[in-house]
Amino acid sequence: MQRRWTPLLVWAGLLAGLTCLQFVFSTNPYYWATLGGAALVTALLAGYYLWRPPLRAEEYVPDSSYATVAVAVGAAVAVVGVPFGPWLYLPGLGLLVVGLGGLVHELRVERRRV
Amino acid sequence: MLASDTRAEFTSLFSLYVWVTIVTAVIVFAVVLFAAWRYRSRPGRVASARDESILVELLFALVLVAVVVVLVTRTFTTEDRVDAVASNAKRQVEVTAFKWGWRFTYAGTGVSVVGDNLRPPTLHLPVGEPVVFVERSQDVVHSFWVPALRFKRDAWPDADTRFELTVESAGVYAGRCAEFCGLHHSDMNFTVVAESRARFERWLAAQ
Amino acid sequence: MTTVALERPRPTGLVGWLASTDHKRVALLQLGASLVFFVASGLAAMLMRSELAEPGMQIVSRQSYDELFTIHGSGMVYLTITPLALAVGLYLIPLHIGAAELAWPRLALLGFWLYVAGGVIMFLGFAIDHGAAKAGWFATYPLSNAANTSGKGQDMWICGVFLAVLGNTIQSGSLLATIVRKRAPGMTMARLSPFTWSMLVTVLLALTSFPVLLGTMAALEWDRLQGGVFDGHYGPVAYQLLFWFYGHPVVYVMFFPFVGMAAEVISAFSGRRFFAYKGFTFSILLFAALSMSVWAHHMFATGRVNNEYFSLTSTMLIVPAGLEYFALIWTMVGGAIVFSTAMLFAIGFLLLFLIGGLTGVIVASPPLDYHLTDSYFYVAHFHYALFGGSLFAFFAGAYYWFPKVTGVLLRESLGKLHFWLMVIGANLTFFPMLVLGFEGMPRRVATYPERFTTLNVVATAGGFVIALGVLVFLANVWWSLRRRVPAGNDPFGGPTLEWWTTSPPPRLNFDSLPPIRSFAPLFDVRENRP
Repeated sequence: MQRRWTPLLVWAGLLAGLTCLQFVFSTNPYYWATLGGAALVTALLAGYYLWRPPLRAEEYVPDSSYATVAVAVGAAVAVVGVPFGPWLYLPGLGLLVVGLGGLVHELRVERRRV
Repeated sequence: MLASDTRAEFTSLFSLYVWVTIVTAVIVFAVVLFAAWRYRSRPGRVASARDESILVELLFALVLVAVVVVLVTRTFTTEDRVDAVASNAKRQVEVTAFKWGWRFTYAGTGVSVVGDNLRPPTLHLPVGEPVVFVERSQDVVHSFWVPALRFKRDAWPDADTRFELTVESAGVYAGRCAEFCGLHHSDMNFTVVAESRARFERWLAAQ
Repeated sequence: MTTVALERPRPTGLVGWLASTDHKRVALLQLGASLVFFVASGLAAMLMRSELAEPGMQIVSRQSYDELFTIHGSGMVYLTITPLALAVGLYLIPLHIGAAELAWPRLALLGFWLYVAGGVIMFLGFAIDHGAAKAGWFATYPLSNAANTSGKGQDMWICGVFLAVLGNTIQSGSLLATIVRKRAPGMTMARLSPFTWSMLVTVLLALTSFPVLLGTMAALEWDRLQGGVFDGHYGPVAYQLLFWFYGHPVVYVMFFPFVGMAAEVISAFSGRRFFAYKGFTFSILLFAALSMSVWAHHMFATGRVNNEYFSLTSTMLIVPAGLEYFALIWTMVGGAIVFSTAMLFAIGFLLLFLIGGLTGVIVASPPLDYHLTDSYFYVAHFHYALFGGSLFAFFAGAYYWFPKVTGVLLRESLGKLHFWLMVIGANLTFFPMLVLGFEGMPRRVATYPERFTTLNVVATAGGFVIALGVLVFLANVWWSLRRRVPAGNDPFGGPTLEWWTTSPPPRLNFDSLPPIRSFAPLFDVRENRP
């Protein structure tokens, strides 16, 4: 299980190298900010997995999550409501908040069970 | 060949790439189809247990790198010539693209030709002489494409693009818009008439 | 193995499926939704090809044609192949690494519903006055701004794309966490199956490039509602640079999982461990990294980007691509090949994707691209890569894994008919496009000059052959599910862990696991048996 983050670091290194190569040809920030940003994000992901404590021995696996569906539908309605107006995005946001609340509840119940 | 003879540059570079493409395709097809036949399952056939050959992989990688070097070198040198725009060009045409037609203005002469999707304009050009084009759009992004010259360049609303073309043989060629620009993109055409210098000057004077 | 405790009896029926956090169910739902969008986008293509059978407008109006090609491209990229690529990962990754479930399984469900909502919203544009989106699948600016493309259909498209890609990104996070943290004991990173490696780079591509699209779509919508984002100097160029930073990696997200599937199929049906595993894994990391750096090659003809850097990195792709081909083909060499439908599709993938890849090398050269971009040559290039490549490899995987997922075998006779129809159809449809583009037919046109008619008729005929092939596949699925020839745990002698468990797998995937000592644990098990 060791060095699980090595492929991520290799990939971050390759992206960083390709970003440096850009400077031979151009200093356009639209080039290095995006690719360099990708290298940074990958390095951060590697760091995150390096730092994270190991998994617990026993883990709870849910079978369903209505709250998740509510979050998805709420978010979707809220997003498509943006060009249409508050009459659409406010109910969407409402459903999203209800869904998030439900999610918090589900996770609390789960934590108590393990 | 003149630097801005885009058709000749294209043909020369394309023949290298097509050669590499065809050789690669023939090799891969042959190997795959041969392997499919030779190593098909039959009574007594036992699959090999070998699963790695680092030396062969490294050698193959080196071959691939060599191919990349050849292609990139030829591409870069060709592109330097195709992209070059002479600063002291004698002839300059301003191309203005709009939904859905073209206006061609011959710099310094006051001559302008304009047309749209219902009546496409004609761009007259002298044979054998480099012409600099300065291109701009009045609305969305369009693209000036003359397939016979193997060249296209986008027209932008916020900045000019410049390129240089030389038509080597006289004739009538199709011109098209090559960047989707809305409803009449399919019909946003123009015609290129390439003629001898004398005939071109006579046409220009008559406008 | 991390033991897991299950709470209460599983909800049954429709609810049990629609709100399920079982990765296998979410994956199958996503597969089903992708199939629906595939058929819808395919129907759009059939209408396009019917219109293009003759010059002039016979069947649809110009505006409708613009909506059709926009929805065809958008439906295929955002709503079919990308979600399909993630769905195969959602199903297979826990099985390949010996895990009982994904990490953060609710994220998979969330991603699914965001994607479906996005797709529905995009298609609902057809019901709006002014119609559906009509600015192409990449919505070039300023064509896509409020002045040039009016109507809420375009805004709904932007929202739909945003939601679908958001869903994809969230699922990628769950898959990455799963691969890194939920591997069974003995399943080190150096023993991951080739398919798992292909999914690992897929999710890295998604996590580092998809967020840029989310920002760009939000910015585009802001520009449509308020203005002032992309309408200044360099704005339209900036839009394309940001879009394509997503737009290139996404085509690799639509490729890598399927090449991983092909790798597994080739290994299983050659009866042989996958060859050049180390070369393959390093080259897949290089391949994916390079694919993040090439994006402005879509902009060579703009005259406003640095063509040299992007053509250099694009041409460098030959190196990892060649190494991958070497590994795939050398797995066949020295094997004992069985020509099941799955293997036929895998071989078809090798040969047809090659054409896509080689035409890609050609357009990676700017002086050549100046002529070929935005023409039908380019349409042929990406269809050979996505249709001849990704879709063929998907069908290879479908014939291989259908028995594991459903417990029953697919009919081989119908499978072979499906294969040959697809091969003939693909080449009839897309090969003429290489010539059409070279001869000067632009893309996204509803009509063309008379002299292009014959090749267009051939391409249209090919389209109908493809449609027939798809129908044969659907018939095969339906018929096989009715006939129910049981598959057993391991009908094909596959190398990876999913063949150890039942078909279909139980809720927590494995009741036991074999020892894991290499990337082909089931080959090891079979070889050790007396």
